[in-house]
Amino acid sequence: MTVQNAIDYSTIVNNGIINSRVYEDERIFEDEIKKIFHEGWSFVAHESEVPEQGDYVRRSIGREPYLVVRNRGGDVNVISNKCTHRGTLLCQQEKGNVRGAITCWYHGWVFGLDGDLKSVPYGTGSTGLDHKCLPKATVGNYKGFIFATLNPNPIDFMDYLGEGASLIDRAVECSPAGKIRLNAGWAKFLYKTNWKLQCENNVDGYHVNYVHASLARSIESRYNEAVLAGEDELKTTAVDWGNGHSELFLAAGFSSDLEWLGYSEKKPLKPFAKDYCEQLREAYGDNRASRIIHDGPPHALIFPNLFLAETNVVYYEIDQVGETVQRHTPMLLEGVSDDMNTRIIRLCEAALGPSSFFLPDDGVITERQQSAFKGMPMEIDLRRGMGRENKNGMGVMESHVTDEVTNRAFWNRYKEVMTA
Amino acid sequence: MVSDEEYRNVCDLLYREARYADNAQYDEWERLLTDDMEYWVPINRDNPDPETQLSLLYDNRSRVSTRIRMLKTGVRHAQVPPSPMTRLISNIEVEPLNDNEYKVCSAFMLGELQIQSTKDLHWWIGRTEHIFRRVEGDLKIARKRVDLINSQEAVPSLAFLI
Repeated sequence: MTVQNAIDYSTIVNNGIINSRVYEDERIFEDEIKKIFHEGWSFVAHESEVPEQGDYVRRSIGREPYLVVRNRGGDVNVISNKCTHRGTLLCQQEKGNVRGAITCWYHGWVFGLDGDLKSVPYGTGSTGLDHKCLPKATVGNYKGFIFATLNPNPIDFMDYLGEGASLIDRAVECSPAGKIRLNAGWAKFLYKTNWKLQCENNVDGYHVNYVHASLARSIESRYNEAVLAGEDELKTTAVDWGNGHSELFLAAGFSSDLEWLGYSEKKPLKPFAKDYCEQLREAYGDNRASRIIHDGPPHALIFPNLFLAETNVVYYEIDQVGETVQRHTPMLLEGVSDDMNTRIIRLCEAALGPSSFFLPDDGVITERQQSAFKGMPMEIDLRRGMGRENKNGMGVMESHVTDEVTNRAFWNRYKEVMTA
Repeated sequence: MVSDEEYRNVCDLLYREARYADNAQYDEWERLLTDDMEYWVPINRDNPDPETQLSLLYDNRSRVSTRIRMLKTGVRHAQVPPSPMTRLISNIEVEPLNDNEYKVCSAFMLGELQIQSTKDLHWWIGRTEHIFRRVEGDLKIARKRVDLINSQEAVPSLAFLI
C-alpha cells in the first residue's frame, strides 16, 4: 500500500500563480470540504427564508445535508437532515414547515426543532441506549445572512466576516427599511466546473469585453463603459477587502443615478423608481440616500461561497470536484413598492441563470477551462496588475478593474485556510 | 372544438416553430411572433406568478428581440456553434379562446447536444402552452409558456430557443 503525501498548498498557490490541479484533483477537493466548508464558515441561507416557527429550507454544508429551521423560540438552527438512526434523509422537500417536530418516515424517530431526539416508537427496546440527537452546526447571523460551520470551536464569526460585514451593510441599506428578503425562489444553474472557477469568474473584471461581447453588441447598457472604453478610461475598481472577500466597485464607473437598476440619462425614471428614491431620502436623509441611489448594492464575493451580485444573492453548492450548482435569487427589498421588487426580479432573470444574457456565456467559457485541465497540470497566471495596487488607509487593496487583485484575494485566503 | 382545418393550421405553426428553433433559424423564428409576444419559462410549479416569483426567463417582446440579436452576433458563446437539437411535439390540444385566438397545449421532448463545451447530450422535457393569434390572416405566436419538469432542479445552459 502506498502512502500518499499530504498536498503542499504553499507550492500549489504561489504569489499569483496557481497550479491547475487545484481545480480537478479529488484529494484537494476532499481537503477543501474539510478545511473550508466543515471547519470554516460558509453561507447557508437568509433568515427571511424561514419566517415562521417550523419553517425549514434544505441546504448543505460541503456535501452534508442540513436543514435551516426556525425553532419555537424564534431562533434559526442549522441541524443535520440525516436521521441519527440509519441516516435516512428527514426532509425531502426543498422547503416547507415541519410544524412542531421532524419525523423520520423510516422508523418513526421524532426530533425537535433544536435537533433533540424526542421519541422513538416502541421505546422499551431502546432502554439504556444513548441514541443521538441531530448534530447542530455552529451558526453566525449578520443582518439575516446565516453562515454555518460544523466546527464547534471555529474562529470568531465576526473575525471571519471582517469587511464582508460592510459589504452586507451596503446590500441591505438599499432597502429603506434596512431589510431584505429572499422569497422569490431560487434558480439553480449547473456548471460542469470546479466551484473555484465560478468564484474567480464572478469578481473578474477583465473578461467582460470577450465573454459578454454578444450583449454589448446587442444593447446599450451600463456594461458598455467597460466594454468600449480603453484601459485608462475605465474608472471601475477591483478591491481586495481582506479575508478572501473582494469586490468589483462598479459604482465608480456609473455616470448617472440608478444605473444599477437599468436606468441611464436617456431613460426617464418610472414612478416606482422615483418613489424608491423618495423612500430612501426619507429613511436615510439626502446625503446617504444620494450615495445609495448612485452606487446601488455591491458586486462582491464573500469567501468562500456567497456572491452579492448587485440586486441578487448567489451562492454555490459544492458536490463534486468538476461540478458546481450556482443558486441565485433576486434580493427583494422591504419598504418599497411591489413594482420595484418586480423590477428586481426581471433584472435577475436578465443577468443570472441558465437563460440569462450573461451567465450562460460565463458557464461555457469556464467549462472549456475545466475540460482543458484534464491534461497536464499548468500554471494559471493571475498576476495581472501586481504592483500597481493602491493600499488605502484601512489596509484595503484597490486596483484597476481589469486587475486580478480580486482573484488573488481569494487565493491568498485559500492558502491560509488550507495550510492552517 | 376546432375544425380539422383549424387543428391542422395550429399543428403546422407548432411544427414550423419547432423546426426554426431546432435549426437556429432565428429570423424565421422571430417572424412567427406577434408584436406583443411574451416568452416565459417559470420555475415554481405551484406558484409561478412572475410578479412575485423568479422565472428562468420572462421576456417581453423587446427582451425577445435582444435575445435574438445576441444569438445572431456570432459571439453568444453559449450557442457558438448552435446546439444540434431535435424536439418532438405531441399531445396537442387546441382550445379556441375567441374569434382569432387559440390556446394550444402540447408536450415536448428535446434532445440537445451541448457542443459548445461539455458535449453532453441533455434531455429537456416538459409542456408548452401557446397562445396563437390570427393577425392579418396569418397565425402567429402571441405567448409561449414552457414548463420544464425539472425547472426547480439544477439545469445547464439554456441559451437556445426552447
